[in-house]
Amino acid sequence: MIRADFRLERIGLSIQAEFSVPAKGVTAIFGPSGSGKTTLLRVLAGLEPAVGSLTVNDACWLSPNSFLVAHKRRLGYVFQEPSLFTHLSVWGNLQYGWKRGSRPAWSVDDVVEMLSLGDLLKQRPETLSGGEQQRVAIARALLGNPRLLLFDEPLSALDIESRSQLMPFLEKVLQHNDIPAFYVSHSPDEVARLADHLILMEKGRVVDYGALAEMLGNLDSNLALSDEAFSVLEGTIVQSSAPGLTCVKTDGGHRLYVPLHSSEAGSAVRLKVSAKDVSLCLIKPDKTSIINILPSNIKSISKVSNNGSRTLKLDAGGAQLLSRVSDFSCQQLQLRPGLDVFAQIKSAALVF
Amino acid sequence: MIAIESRAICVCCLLGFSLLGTPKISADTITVAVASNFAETLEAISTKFEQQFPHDVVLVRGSSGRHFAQIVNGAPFDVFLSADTRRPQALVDAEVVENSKVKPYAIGRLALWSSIPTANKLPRERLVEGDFNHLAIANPRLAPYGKAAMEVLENIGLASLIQSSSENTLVYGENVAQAFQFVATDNAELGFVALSQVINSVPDEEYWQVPADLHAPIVQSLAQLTDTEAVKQFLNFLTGSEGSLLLRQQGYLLPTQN
Amino acid sequence: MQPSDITALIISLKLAAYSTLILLVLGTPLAWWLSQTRNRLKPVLEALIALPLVLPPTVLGFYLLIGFAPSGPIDSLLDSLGIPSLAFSFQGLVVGSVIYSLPFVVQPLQTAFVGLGKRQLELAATLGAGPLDRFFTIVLPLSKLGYLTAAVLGFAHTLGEFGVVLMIGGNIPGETQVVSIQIYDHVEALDYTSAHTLALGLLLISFLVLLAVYGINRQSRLVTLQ
Repeated sequence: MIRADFRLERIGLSIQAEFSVPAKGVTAIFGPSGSGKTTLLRVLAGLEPAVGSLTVNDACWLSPNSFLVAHKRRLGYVFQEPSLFTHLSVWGNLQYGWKRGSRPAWSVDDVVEMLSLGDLLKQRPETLSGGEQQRVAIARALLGNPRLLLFDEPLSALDIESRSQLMPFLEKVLQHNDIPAFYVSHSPDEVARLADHLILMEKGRVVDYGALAEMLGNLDSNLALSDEAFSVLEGTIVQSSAPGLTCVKTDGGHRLYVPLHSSEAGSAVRLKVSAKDVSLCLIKPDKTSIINILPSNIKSISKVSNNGSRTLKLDAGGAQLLSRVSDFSCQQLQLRPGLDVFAQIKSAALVF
Repeated sequence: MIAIESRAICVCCLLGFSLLGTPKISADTITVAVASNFAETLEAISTKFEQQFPHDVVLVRGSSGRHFAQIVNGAPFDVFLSADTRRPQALVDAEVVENSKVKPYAIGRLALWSSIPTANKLPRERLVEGDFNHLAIANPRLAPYGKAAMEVLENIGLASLIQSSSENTLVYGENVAQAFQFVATDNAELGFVALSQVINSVPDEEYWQVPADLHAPIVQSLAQLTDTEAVKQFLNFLTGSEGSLLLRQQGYLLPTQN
Repeated sequence: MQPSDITALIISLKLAAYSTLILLVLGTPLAWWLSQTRNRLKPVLEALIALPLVLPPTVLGFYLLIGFAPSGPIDSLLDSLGIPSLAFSFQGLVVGSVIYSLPFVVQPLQTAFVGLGKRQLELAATLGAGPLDRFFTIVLPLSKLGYLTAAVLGFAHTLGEFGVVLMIGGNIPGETQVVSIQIYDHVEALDYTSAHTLALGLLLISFLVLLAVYGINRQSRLVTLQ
């Protein structure tokens, strides 16, 4: 477990954090710009002095009487801007952390292969593209045998193409190891794809933390009450019967059709469904262009937001699904918890 | 009305006083380039001169080599009082000045000075016994006082000893003023300085007035660069009876004496 | 050129070399501290270090002359350590040169360190590098240009030093007789030919040294680009 209860007060840089997350998987730190996410990460890294306590797997990194220095914490930190050591080659960069720690949990060759760095090893950082530099930064972080991985919006400094190229690498890295990771992001897409747990921040404070589904389904949170609310469905790619579309079988047994994707049958995927792309019907729709229709049951309904909409939490055959509906429609259809409905998800709404 | 009148009277008075404030109606300024060792003496002489004559004397003190270079390049000095004869002669050779305008004005004397006198030992004894780490002299190559100091050392028979000794070192100042400085700050225990530098300011037992026969005479010559009445008056005063008195008081010998 | 001129050249080059080396070693922790600290005393220290930039060298030399005197505190300290007096000695000149050229070495180093920014150092820390480790493996390699500038400036400045040496040197051949004083003396003695020769000699040597330094710098840059 990673337990934290600390605060940092400086001019222009104050945060207050209290959370407890498992030391396994990816914990996303999510919130609007300026909410203190990067500062939180820096405190975890020991790069900012905070007051309070922080334990990582029973190791005390921060307490009222002690402060473990950054270089003794064994971290893998990936910044937003690729920050490779400019006076060393790619190989020199990779070796840096490794030379200073115990042997990494996997071999250098594996990491190099996993991140496709084979051709780049002898080059100097300034000759690489942004995406390539980030891959090297990630490999360097892994090879330092870290106890904690910290990612600070590693994709936001890249162009869209590089981002989509780098994302699969990130997924691979985060899934294939046991090291707990913190991932700062303001992108719901990234959170949907990568996170297992979520820490929500607003105006320098941690307002909530927990497993992803719970957090997303907390209808009191600002996230759920906004048009950015979304759900995450897990499933596997299966043989598709519709040409031009890929079929995903959810863990709940439903089949969803999404735009054609190059992943092979059998691969495990996650789907992000924006709540505002989920509309509701009391009777099963017929002859409609929307293919994905899931029978669901309403679990709870949020209060009305500023724009006159409400968020409904649905149980779609075991999977949690959110839907944004105008208050007017809620009244018209007399929607209430316990009611069975049909949830329509526009195909294009599913995002890999 | 009255106010304006009184203001006008004030202004006239001020103007009048400012005119009165320059009592010298046909006043001249005489600029003298003077060797550092003679500067103090020249100040005393100038003060007396200014009391009797309506002119101003401006002293520019410094090294004679520099003065020479400046004069050759047109510096507006009226008189050049050198530390030696070489530089005024060089001015003649360079045809900057006529031979008739160059003549000796003083003969310098050496003193051996120790600012931290050890009990019961005179400076001369300390020199002969080698009781010092550093002996300061002016650079013999540049300064006639340094050259004279070397001659003294040779004549006493100490020159080669000192050159080869590791405990006693010769330390060279750029000029005799710097040699004085080294001794004054206690960095050199002994130093050959100009007699004029110590004669009226330092207790007698702290220095040895070096006999004039231990070295070639330090003849200091002057060059007259401009030919105005004022300059002539000044030079006459310098070489006349009042000037000579002050010179002797400061430890210099007169050029006709030897 | 006369043998005494050659000796003077050697003394000057030795003085410049020793002073520069000492300054690079002393200046590094000083410049580093200044680049990292937010201490209130920082402006005081920076002003002190910059003093030799504005003080006439003769003022510095004058106070050193007084300071080195046998009756003074410096000398009694040295005496107790068994070190001979600094007045009129090569060691004294080195001390004077170190003080005189201090800002020329500390300031370029400080600028180089500040220019590094914090990012790479923080990363090195997260990868397990302690403070000294970070300094030698990150700061130094990335500050090469700063060190080069500091070394060149310190060397050149000391080579041309006149006022300080004039006050405390004593012009002792083979010990404290440096080229700048020698040239001045040649002019004083109306020996303009020797002055020309020596000045040109100094110019040539200085130029060659600087050329070599900048040439090496360019070489190492080309190598790293491969």
